[in-house]
Amino acid sequence: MTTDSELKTFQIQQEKFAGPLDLLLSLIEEKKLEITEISLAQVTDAFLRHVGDIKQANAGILADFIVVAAKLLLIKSRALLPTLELSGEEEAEIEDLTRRLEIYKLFKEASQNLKKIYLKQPLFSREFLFNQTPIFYPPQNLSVLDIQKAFQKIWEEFQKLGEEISVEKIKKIVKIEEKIKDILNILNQGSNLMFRNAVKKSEKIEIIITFLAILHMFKEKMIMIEQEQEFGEISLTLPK
Amino acid sequence: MPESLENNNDNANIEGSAVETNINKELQRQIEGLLFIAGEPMALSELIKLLEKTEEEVKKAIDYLKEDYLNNQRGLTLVENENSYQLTTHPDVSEIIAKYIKEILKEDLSPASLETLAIIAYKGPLNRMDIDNIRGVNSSFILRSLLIRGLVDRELDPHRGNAYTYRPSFDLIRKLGLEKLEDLPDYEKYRTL
Repeated sequence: MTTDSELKTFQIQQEKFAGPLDLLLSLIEEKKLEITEISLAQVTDAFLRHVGDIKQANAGILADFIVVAAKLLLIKSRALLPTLELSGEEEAEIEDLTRRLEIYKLFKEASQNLKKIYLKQPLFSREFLFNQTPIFYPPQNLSVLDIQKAFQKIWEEFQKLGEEISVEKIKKIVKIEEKIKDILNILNQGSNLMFRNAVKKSEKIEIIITFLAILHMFKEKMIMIEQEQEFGEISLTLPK
Repeated sequence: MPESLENNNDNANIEGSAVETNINKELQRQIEGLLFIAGEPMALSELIKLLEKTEEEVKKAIDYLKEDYLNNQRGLTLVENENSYQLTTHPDVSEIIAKYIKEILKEDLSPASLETLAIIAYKGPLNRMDIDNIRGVNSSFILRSLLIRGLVDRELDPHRGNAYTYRPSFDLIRKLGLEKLEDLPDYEKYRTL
């Protein structure tokens, strides 16, 4: 379970550094060093300082940083104490870190390749059955009599309803068109509108009408809708 | 009959290839029509079944069709992914198409998303453990958001029952303006890492 604030901290961390290898790589590149054991030893202190800053973040990411920090400390210890004997496993871990950092660096470059072309010249496809006229295929054994009977039934239902519908009830309901106008008015004045504020009286029917209105507007590409998480606040903006 | 072709009899060869070209042309037109009406990607196997042709014949016709689009500078092209094909507009006309359909093309990708997408695009399909290993950090959050945005597809890992493998989606390939993943810059270099 992650709370909102944890999620936020996580996202901030994500924005700054995509992970411990990203942090390590940027520290090394800042100093214009090659990826070697010696340069890793040199940036160990800076790395640890950054890890100290993310203590508040959720335990999941912190663990990933600490794993790398432990390896760095090992490297640094050996740099300071040349006589320090490392086990085969530890030697392998150090090598593994430099190798992984090399590979990470390459993919970091590859991600720039993607960034350069993403949405620059996209290819468009026809949506499946886009513009398709609906066709009604009646069942083979359908007769005129069946249709007549069905209509008769509906007619009788209507007769029964008759006076039950009260004019009063219908009057109260806000029209979708009005709602759309309202929302557009507000959006044209300011930057964005929260769904919660688009509903004036928090009556169920008004909420439904407002929701239908924004769905309709979205379909017509009149507005953009954003909802960061399930059941979260819905934010409306005009398309740019 | 096959022997006379192999005998290098010039006449037979020319006639043979002319007939073949005609058959191929007919097949190209059928494939073009099918892909147009389908809109979405069609699997090679489905085309083979519908057209009642061999895999080789269908693939060849698709290659010719692609070449035809390219050579004649048409507004369309074919996108290929995982043995499926989709008819799309050519990258050269993307600007005018965007103007027409007014699709919102301003989504941004965070560095973490880009990095994860790059790994999947160049090395996919691969599972989360492999992705985590390259990135050095847990990627489940990012993967989920890429899945929701339709940029990657996932399916159960055939080798490990309880894990998923992630691969680039058709949508991603189209958004990158590529006809196939192999057209990514330095594809071979990163692929073999």
